[in-house]
Amino acid sequence: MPKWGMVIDLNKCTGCGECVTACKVELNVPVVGPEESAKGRTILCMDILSTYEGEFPEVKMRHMPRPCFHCEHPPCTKVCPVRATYKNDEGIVAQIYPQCIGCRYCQVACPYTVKHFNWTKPEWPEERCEALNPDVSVRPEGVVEKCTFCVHRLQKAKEQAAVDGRDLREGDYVPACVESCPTKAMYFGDLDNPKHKVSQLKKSHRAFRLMEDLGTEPKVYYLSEVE
Amino acid sequence: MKIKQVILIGLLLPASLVFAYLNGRDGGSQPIAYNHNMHVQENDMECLDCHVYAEDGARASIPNVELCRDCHEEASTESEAEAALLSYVNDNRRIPWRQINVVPDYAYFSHRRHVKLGELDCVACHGEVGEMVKPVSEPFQEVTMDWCMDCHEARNVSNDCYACHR
Amino acid sequence: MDISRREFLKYLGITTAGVSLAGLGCDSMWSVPDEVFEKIGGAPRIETWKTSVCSLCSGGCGIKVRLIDGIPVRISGNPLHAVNRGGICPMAEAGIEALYNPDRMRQPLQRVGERGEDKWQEITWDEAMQTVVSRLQALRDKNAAHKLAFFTGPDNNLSSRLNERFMQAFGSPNLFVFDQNKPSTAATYLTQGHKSELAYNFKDIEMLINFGADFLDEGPSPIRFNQLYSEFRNRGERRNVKVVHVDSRLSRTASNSSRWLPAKPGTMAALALGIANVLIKDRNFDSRFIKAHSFGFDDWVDSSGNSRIGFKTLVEDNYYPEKVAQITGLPARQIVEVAREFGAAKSALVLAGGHAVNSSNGVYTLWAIECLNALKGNYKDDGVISVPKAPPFSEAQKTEVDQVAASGLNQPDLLQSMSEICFTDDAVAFLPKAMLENQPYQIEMLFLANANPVFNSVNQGDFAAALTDVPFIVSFSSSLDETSAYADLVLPDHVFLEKHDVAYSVPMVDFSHFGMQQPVVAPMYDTRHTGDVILQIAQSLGGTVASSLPWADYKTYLEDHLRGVYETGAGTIFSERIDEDWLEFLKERGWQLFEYSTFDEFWQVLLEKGGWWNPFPDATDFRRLIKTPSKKYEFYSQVLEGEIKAHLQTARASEDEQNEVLQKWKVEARGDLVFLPHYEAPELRDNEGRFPLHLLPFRLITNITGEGGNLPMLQELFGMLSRNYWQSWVEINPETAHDHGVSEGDLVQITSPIGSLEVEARLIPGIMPGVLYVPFGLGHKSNGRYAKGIGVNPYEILLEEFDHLSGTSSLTSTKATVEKRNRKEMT
Repeated sequence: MPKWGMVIDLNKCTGCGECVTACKVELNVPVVGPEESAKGRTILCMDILSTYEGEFPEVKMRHMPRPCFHCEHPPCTKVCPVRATYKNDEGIVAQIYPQCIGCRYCQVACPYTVKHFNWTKPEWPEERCEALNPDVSVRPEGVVEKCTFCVHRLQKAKEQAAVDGRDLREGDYVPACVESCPTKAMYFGDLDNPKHKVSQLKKSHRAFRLMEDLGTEPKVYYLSEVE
Repeated sequence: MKIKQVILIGLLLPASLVFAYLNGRDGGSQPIAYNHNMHVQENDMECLDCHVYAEDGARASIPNVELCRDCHEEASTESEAEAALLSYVNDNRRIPWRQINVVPDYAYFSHRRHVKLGELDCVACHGEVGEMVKPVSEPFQEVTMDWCMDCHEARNVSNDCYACHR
Repeated sequence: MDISRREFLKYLGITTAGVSLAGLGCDSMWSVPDEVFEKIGGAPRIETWKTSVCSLCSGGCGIKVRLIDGIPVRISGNPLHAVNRGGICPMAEAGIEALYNPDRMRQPLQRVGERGEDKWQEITWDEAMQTVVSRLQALRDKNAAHKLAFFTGPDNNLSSRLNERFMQAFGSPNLFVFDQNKPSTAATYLTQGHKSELAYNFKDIEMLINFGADFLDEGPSPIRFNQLYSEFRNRGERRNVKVVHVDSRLSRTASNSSRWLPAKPGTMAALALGIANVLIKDRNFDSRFIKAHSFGFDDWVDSSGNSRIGFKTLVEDNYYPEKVAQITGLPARQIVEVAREFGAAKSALVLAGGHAVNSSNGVYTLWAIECLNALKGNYKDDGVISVPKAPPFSEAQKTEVDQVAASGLNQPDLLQSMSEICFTDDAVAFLPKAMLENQPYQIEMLFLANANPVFNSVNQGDFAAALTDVPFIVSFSSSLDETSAYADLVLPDHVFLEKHDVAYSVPMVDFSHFGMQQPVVAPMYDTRHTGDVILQIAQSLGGTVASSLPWADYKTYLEDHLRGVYETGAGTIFSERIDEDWLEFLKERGWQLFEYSTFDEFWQVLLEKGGWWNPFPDATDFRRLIKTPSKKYEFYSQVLEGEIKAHLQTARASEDEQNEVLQKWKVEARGDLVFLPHYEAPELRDNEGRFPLHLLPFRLITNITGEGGNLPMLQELFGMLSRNYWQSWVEINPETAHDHGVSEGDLVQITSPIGSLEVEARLIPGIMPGVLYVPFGLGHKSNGRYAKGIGVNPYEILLEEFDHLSGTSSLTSTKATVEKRNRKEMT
């Protein structure tokens, strides 16, 4: 079984935000509008955490793209009363929307705040409704959603590989954010496969994971900036 | 009625109930009294001749005028149904077929996966459509999660939620 | 009735409930509307891809559009495109929303209410065209062709060539380009006498000093610069590029640089000259270039025997590090360090933009910065700076000019004879003045295409007033922006995904190239390609106007131009990245990468791959390009001397006369200094300290041009890095905020001498104390439901100041106050 994971090279990332936008379009994440946004209900399955370090004039600004970390020991799945969120055999932390009852326990349990609740009925201009990504369902009001590592792309990639009569190759399955990164700062693949770039990069001396002391073992690694 | 309740009900009850509802409707709910038997049995056509993407696409597709036109440029029978078809073909109007077999939005269903990779016959899920003289107005098989999962289990196919849900 | 997929689901749910109740003996409550089934009916969901070009800014990025059953669902980058190499920005990604925008123009509209009242009546294309043509004909009939003006957006596409051609044949000199992202050519003009846009080769540079250009968020091609900046610090085996960024805000460009120098606003000229001072003192400059190819570096003696000051003396006497430190607020040690690093680098470059240019002392600032490139000897024929050629398009036959056109073209354009500006580099901001004063004549008809000065100019009010006075305005906009709101007729263009065009010569790119924009979907509404409309107008006008624009439609016009590229066989269609040596090898032997033997095949491959480029640019022959009186690079600008003389009444004007002109242009320097790059304190009115803070706008990649406001996704992500969705904010240094009693998240009022606005406060250490930064892009008064009334437009309260040498608007001349406000009760 592959163990899907991501490596984000912060030395290459410029914080342009293309991954955030690509994610929103790919996953049919609705725009919630000004009123809901003001209540903090904007849904960003991929987000960029920007922080400032130091004081003027010795200031440094850092950008950190943040998808769901698909933890090896996810705190969110343990609290789900209906098994709408669980970790599957390939290490992807799933969120099964029709199963979700919207209790939001997982949202609270997630130390990385990557889970979002759909407070409102998703809305698009009528003209756009036919032009959403047909590979991804539209989440109804009242369920929790998050980054799925674009699992719909995995479903299709596996099918294509089977049709071609071969195994899944590196690069067959890549989430939208990784694919669209203009500076090629993001890598995706099987963390357990020594041939995959991610499994080499995660051993880099620059590699770290967010809040490692929690023991969640995220499957998204960062490569720190080179000072 | 609030959409949330609707969705809840939608989740608790299998989607198949829609088809139960459609059952109650007039059997001739399709715009044209299409005769599968005539095409398949009498004219030796294959399912794939018209549902062209059933093997290679996620959706099998329902043929419309551009495909029908290949054979029905002019009347070849005296049937009323063909006359009805020809009016669509000649006016280049879309035939408003009712899609009978519907998989919910939150499930990823791929014909290619089932037909090409799983080597399933069309009849396994759709029944002997080729025998039908009346248009399809109800599904042969209610698509329930149990039904899907039983078959997956029997054939040793993944039953991970992410095998189908998205 | 249209039914969406969502609504279908809803119906599915509702019917399910209905059935369950029906089973219990109740009537079903809902029936499934037929339309639901029609909509979802057997579409196979076949995925296809089409290449095109994004035209939401002047960057011209190659895109690849994903279509499902022919419906565009997502835009991503075209990896074959030689400029953006597969990268796109959030604006392009959200561009899909432009297509489905519920408020886009769907058919021609005629104004029925007062100007700007937003009352319209739908009319047919035939009626509309008739009106336009008869009005144009009337202008020509009374020999007043020059009274037609045309305001257009970025001009690096073949549409603008067509517009130029139309204006020529029609007989008006009044075509003006509105492009906030266009790099200024003022410094090039003063030192080299030509206005060619410069391009840069970053491949082998070791150091870059960027004065104020927020390349990663603003134009001209933000994604290319994001890629470049990322590459600068990931050079692998080679040493990384040292990037120094000068600006008073730690922008994304600054934070992606290796060093940030927060110089006080408006003082960048002093810093540049301070660096020059160290270089000169250390004798660490390209003395060979200076000696052989420059004029005015050393002191010199003019023809009358007077001794004149040279650049070297000026810099040595006035811009020693300690003094520059005082002006800029930067430690002298830092200035020396950066200068030494710059001097030591084998290949180093300086670039300028943003607040360096948009300042009341912008030309002198740009010029001072520019001199560092000369000191570094960057104007060599194979140096890092070049002037790329346009692609070898076929030259269409010469425009025919009849008597009416000739007399129109003989008239000065609106800005030409304006005494308020010295030479017009980017002086469109002065158009309202000319129009309101009817100087040199009244404009009777105005065409608008992709220009929105009523929103994105500092003097937007003047533009609005000037437009109100124009008897007839035609807008070709695809959305009803602030400027189009003043139109009498709206003849809506397609959205970029629905049209053909060719985007070429993206600013600052050092090889010639073009991208193929093609319709990825048929037009959704009754809109028309503005190129087609212009051609049709020309045909209806007949005579030489028609014969100068003989193409049946815009696509034929494009094909005609690209035939030249096909016939010369130069360059290559975009391809997977191949070894450039190998490509050269192939070309030398007359082979090409793709198979095509006719122009039609060439066109097809072009559409498929997305464009063309020439990876082997000719070296730029600067000596031939330079058009100064001395035929050399001029530190002492005789070009400026000439320009000033042109404004004086007599050939032998007295010093007083010259001083009077200089005073009008707000140039403080006198004597030789006027013709040398120097630092002048920026024009600031602070009314006896009533406005203690400096107010500056900045722009973001989520809305590069400000026109993205009608795309809901961009509104929601507008301030994604600072978590400001659908709202404006002000960035303040925490120390300054504390001094003014402001805390994080407070609602504050910012007041300038001409107005005030309310925003939320963000306390950010990356902002220089004493400066307020408000993002530009929101505060639309028009442009559809997503844009209108969201956030504020900082330009509304900026003072109308200009650099009077070039005519560029200043964005850095406003002082303001900040005050905490009480929030209204939440209802």
